[in-house]
Amino acid sequence: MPQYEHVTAAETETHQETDYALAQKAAQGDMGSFEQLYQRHNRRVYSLCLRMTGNVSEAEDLSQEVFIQLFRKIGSFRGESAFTTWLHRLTVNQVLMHFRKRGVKMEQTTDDGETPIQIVKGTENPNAMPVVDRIALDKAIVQLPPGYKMVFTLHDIEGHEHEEIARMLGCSVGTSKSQLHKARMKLRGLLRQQKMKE
Amino acid sequence: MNCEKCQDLIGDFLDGALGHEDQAKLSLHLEECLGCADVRNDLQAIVGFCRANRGEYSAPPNEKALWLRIRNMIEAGASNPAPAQAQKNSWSNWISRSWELSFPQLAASAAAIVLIVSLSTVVGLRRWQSGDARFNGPGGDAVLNAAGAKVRDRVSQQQQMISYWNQRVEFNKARWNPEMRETFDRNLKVIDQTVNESFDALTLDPHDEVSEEILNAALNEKLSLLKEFAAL
Amino acid sequence: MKTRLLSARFVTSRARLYSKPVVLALLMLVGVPSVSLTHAQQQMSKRYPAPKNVRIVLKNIFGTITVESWNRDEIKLTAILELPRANVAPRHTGSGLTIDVMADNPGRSDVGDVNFKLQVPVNSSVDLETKRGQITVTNIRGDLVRAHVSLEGDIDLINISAGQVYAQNTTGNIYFDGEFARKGIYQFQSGKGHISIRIPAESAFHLTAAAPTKQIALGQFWNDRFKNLGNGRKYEGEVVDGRSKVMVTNFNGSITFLRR
Repeated sequence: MPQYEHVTAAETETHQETDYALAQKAAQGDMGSFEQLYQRHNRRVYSLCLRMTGNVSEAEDLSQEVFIQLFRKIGSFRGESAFTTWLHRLTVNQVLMHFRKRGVKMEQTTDDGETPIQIVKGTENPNAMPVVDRIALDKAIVQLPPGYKMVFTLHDIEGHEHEEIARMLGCSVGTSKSQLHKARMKLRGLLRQQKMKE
Repeated sequence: MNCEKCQDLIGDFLDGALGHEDQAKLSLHLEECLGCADVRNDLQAIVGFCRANRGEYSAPPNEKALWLRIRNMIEAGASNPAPAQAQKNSWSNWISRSWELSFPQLAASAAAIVLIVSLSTVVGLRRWQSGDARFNGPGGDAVLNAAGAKVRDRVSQQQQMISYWNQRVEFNKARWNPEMRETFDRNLKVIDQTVNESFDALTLDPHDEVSEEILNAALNEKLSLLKEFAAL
Repeated sequence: MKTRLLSARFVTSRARLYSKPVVLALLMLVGVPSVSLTHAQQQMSKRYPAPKNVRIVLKNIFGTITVESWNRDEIKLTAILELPRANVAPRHTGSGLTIDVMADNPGRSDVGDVNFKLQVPVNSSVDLETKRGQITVTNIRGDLVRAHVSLEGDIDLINISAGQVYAQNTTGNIYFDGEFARKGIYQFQSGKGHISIRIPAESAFHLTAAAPTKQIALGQFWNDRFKNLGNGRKYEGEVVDGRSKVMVTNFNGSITFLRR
């Protein structure tokens, strides 16, 4: 039985089989190879699902769905793009489907008028931003509207380009950019609010 | 440059996508406007933190258990994946179709999955708790035989599923307040009582379909509760 | 099994930063949040425009949920939050309103009760969950009414006419007073409590009712075509032409059918 220590894809690919080779074997029904792919990538998939749902149980269920879908579609991976990008797209689709089923609109551009994005004037309270830390940021990300959360996660956390995000989400590059800007501004507000409460 | 335009450009500036001309205008404005400079500094801190920590991922609470669940589902559905995009086997067709189900169809599918899980759980529990006199004897064997070889193979994995969710709940319970712990335990006992009574009835009469149905419903309920409270 | 309902006090507007026309516009478009503070509670109140056949999804952690219809094309949400206060961030989408207290408070198992009251258009669909606390739904004629209490709490569904009704709790009574729609689906399940179903005399449905206590009273809806399974623990059969499906399961309690 394989061990479940954390190994990055880069490390693994240097010494072991590539994702593409494993994907080809898994496509022939080799569960051992599929398990290795799971080991390499489950954390990445789970983290994205967790960020998007903010709920451990839902994130686990979604990750499960992603890997079941991955097994079904793995024969269609031809290695044109990086396996991680391809898997990411699959994960994003699954998350979008999940939100659609829950009636959550991704193309949301307002957030119930709670904290409209305001243009900050020079007279604004010049309190410095609290030092950003993982807990504070995670707490703030959870509160973002789903559309903002998705674009922010894909761009700033995962490092995708707007063109790639637009393809994944089926929107324009302009929409992706504008959602990202709104998401960052909203996050800034949330982090400042957190600081005020402390 | 006004503040609105400036804050629009800050995003591109952070992503290194700003032309020289715009960058010069932006710098000029930022020197004069404390508010916009604040925004730039804050967003730089957020984006910088994200970039610095890229590639760090959280692990699922139990990676191994999650893998077993995935393998279970795959093996329950098909022995092989679709070899190519164009060739869809019946399982993949089912999966694709399932997203287009109407609500009643979805409910029926969910009920069918619940029944399969419950049945294998019943069998699993009977073997798992084989030390208990109630689960020994011809009744349990008959159900085992009827459930088939595939279900038997998954028995140990079902055991892991139950103990996995139990462990998760027990781990979380320490954080709950006493009232909540009491309420949860009290209600789990209500379900356990039904589980035990149905088991007893099934031991007396292995062909008692009503008890088997109630048992399935109660076990399913117990799993749902454990799963739900494991997330709390 | 009854959960206390707390009263609301001071209400102040958060929208004072805006000029009057802007406030009015916001009122019309996105609803106005208002918050009040007492020693141990906080009240939140919001209004949202409601499209036709609006869908409301409310996933509470602890606390009661009361839903009733009113004669307006908008949703009014009132929540009374007890300490330690939960974060409540409703999401208003094109199809309706989603409130997910669980998702809004990740990793917080210590949140206090949130008692919700929703006033909604009569044709709304409502999907309601709480882990502990009573759910009451009154005068709703939408496509779906779902009430799920994971642990303890009564469920009262009064004057309901919906194509799909699901009510489930572990400990508590379930009371349904309404009509079964043609080809509708109705499911009621309790772990311990009494399930009472009050419907018009002319109702037509296919029934599966199971209660190991054998306390199943079909009243005037009983007929000799019903199959008695497990020596009175389960009844299955049709009333008139069985046009809608009704499934009732009670692990430890009674099932009673009453004429409206």
